[in-house]
Amino acid sequence: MAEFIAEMQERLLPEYEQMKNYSVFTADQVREIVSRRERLFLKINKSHQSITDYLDFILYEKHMHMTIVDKEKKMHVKLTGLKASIATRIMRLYREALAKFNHDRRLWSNWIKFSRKSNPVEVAGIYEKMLLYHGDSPDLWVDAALWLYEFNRLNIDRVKDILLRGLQRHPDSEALNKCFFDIMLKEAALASNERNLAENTLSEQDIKLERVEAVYRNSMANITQLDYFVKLLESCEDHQELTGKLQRMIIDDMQEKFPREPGLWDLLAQRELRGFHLGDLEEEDLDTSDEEPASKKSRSVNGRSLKRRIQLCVTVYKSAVEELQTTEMWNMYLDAMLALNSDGKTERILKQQCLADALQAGHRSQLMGVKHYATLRKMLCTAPSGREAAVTILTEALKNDSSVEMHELLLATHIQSDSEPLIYELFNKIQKSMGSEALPLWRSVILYYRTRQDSLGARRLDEIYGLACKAAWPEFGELRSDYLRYLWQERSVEEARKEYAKLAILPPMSLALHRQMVQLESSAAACDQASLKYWRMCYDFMACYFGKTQPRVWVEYLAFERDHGEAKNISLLTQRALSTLEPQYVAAFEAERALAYVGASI
Amino acid sequence: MDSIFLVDTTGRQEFNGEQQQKKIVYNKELLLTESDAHSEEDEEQNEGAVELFGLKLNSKEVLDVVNSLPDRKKPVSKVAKQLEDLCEKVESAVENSSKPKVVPRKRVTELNHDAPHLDLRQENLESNMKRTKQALNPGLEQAHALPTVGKRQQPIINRAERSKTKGKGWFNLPATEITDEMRNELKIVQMRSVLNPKQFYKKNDLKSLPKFFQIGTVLPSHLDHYQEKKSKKKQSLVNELLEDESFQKFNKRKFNEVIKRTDKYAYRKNLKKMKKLKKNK
Repeated sequence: MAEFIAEMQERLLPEYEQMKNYSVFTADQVREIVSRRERLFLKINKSHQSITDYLDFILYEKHMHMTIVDKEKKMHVKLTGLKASIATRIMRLYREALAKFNHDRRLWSNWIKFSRKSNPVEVAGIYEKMLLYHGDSPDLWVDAALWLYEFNRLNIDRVKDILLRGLQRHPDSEALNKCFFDIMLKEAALASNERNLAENTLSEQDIKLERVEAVYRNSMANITQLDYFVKLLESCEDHQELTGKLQRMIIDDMQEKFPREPGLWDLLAQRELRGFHLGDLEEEDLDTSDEEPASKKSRSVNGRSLKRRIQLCVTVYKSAVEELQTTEMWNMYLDAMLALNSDGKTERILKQQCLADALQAGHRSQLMGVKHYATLRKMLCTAPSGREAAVTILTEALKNDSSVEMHELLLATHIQSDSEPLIYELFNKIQKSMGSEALPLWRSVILYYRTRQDSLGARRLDEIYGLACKAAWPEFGELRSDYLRYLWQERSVEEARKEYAKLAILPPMSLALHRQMVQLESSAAACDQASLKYWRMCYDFMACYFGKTQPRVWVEYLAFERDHGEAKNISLLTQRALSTLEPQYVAAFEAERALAYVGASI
Repeated sequence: MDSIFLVDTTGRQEFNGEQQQKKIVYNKELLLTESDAHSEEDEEQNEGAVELFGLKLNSKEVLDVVNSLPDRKKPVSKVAKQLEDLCEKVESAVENSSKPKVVPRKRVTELNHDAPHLDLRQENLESNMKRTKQALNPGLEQAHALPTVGKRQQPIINRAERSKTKGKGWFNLPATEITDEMRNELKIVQMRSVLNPKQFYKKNDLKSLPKFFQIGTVLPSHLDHYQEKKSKKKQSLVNELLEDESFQKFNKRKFNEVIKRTDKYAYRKNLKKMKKLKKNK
């Protein structure tokens, strides 16, 4: 093995002589380079090789190349031979590494990225070799085809060959079929549409369009994704004047394969809004058969006004919701109407009337979502007598959809109207029928009564908070914390402490309750022994209930004893923490305690 | 459904028959004609209100409501996102390929240093950190002291540890745990001299079953026939002997010989027994 390394080093002798003669490096540096390269050669020639050995060598040579480039700039000389030999060595190292570790995809992609700018002529060969090993990924076939197309556009036959071989392995890959379709479509767009031989023959463009149709028909047999066909249509829209027949074929096949898919109807309606009317495709067919001039086509495509396009779009959506009658279709319809209304510069009245008609029909169909009811409520509240209508409509909607959001809309309407008996009645119904899901509604009602600032509000608040504290769901823990804060601020400290003593032992346990009480106790103005006793009681509760799994609880307790309590309790608390915590949390506690000790936290 | 009603300003009436064969997309009654649209447009430009559930809404306030809504983005599926990325790549490839160029092969002197370097040392460091003492033994900090062994207990533990293998000189031959199947295998190996009368074995090293032993498995070769490969699985010496037809014949023959030899002396053995009984009386 050593003789191979010696031979390779002898082959590099002209390089070393050039380094010394041109004063690129000093003699000591050249000796260091020789010994370094000898070590690297030894690593790539031993029996047990790894990728790291080759990558170290490649990295070293890349750094050497950068150094020589810098020396060139400083010394204003040309060192083409040195750079060429280093580049050749890097490429040879890549090839050797990939011959041994061809399973590593990152190495392949690294070499391709390196060769795209350094040696672009070779990238096609690298892709061919990589596809032999990793042809199971459709994206690599797409990358290879796109590189070939980008590098040499006249080489379209090779691009087709690669894509066809990829499609042989992955017939149902959307990326490969889409790439093939797009490239063939762009080639068809560039071809000329003259009929050179006779009147009844086909032009070059027609032939290429037939190939695009063949690609599409082949992919239609394998792919069952609606989004794929949507993207194909979007690609065809870029070349509207020559893909009318193809678009018609795609739409017919989509209607045949996905007759009850909301995405298809949404696509048709959006195409109407963009100006691609379905009737225009038929007119194009008629025009082609009658051999009319192209001026009629341009008129039919561009001549439709925005008003007409909006009307056609709404017509398609109305047919869709009549045909499908699903929540998803109604959501698409109403979202499209809202998106249409976001631009109020042109045709504002027509757009808003369409939105209003859509909301009205949606409410009548009983399939409208909560967010659209929120929009409807906002629009109705702008009218003078709209709140009564909103209440009526939302009450009707609650019969179909009794979710939390719908109740929240109705509650918000009542709160805006400030009709307290209706709010109380609705809240009673809510807290009897719904369970822990209705927490946002509780929060809204509590906020409303706190804003009233009168005796009725106080009485209702006590009642509501009492019900919240008795609830057995863990989500209501934050209402307990809220209650403590309310008592502390509005009533008195003693009442809050008394309530806390009751709530602390009431299941379900909540860490946020104790943290809230700790915060309230720390914010007290007077800090006497009684306050410290209550403060320490909070930490005792935290440690008692959550001491097994929460290291932070112990750290906070230690910080309290350090800052406000007695320092002699710290060691006892540390012993308690170490014996109480479960084994996997001890390290976290030790780390936090060390940070607290040096003042880096808490 | 009804057929498609086309807005045909040129008045082509002869194609009405063909429309019946077309795909049904939407209803005829919902379409608005151009003349109706024009008249409605004149009316709607005058009034500034939108009608909803019998209420008149101001169009400016409706616009404020619509604009105050949060932005909704349609959820894009994975396939659609992948195809969108592909569209961008195709567009960039087409733009970059606008000038067809044939680059001649030449000596490479300038390199591209934009590619990220594959650094495996960082990965090795991260994997080494996972094998530290703290990760493997989470309860170490809780203990007051490291575990210790007394002076009298240590030789006992060492002896038990040593008895697990034969020693370094015997390449750490293990003391394999003996199960019932394993005991049967060892017995067959011990009594191997009676299996084949033509095969002669030396004397056994031990009269009892061995303590240190290993049992290996013959792996199938790639040159084997696939049925032969299957037949080598899940085999033990007991199963091998039970399935061996020639051994079964030999065994049965030997057993019958022994039975026959025993039966020949049955009368004489009984006579001796009777004499002994009579002599005692």
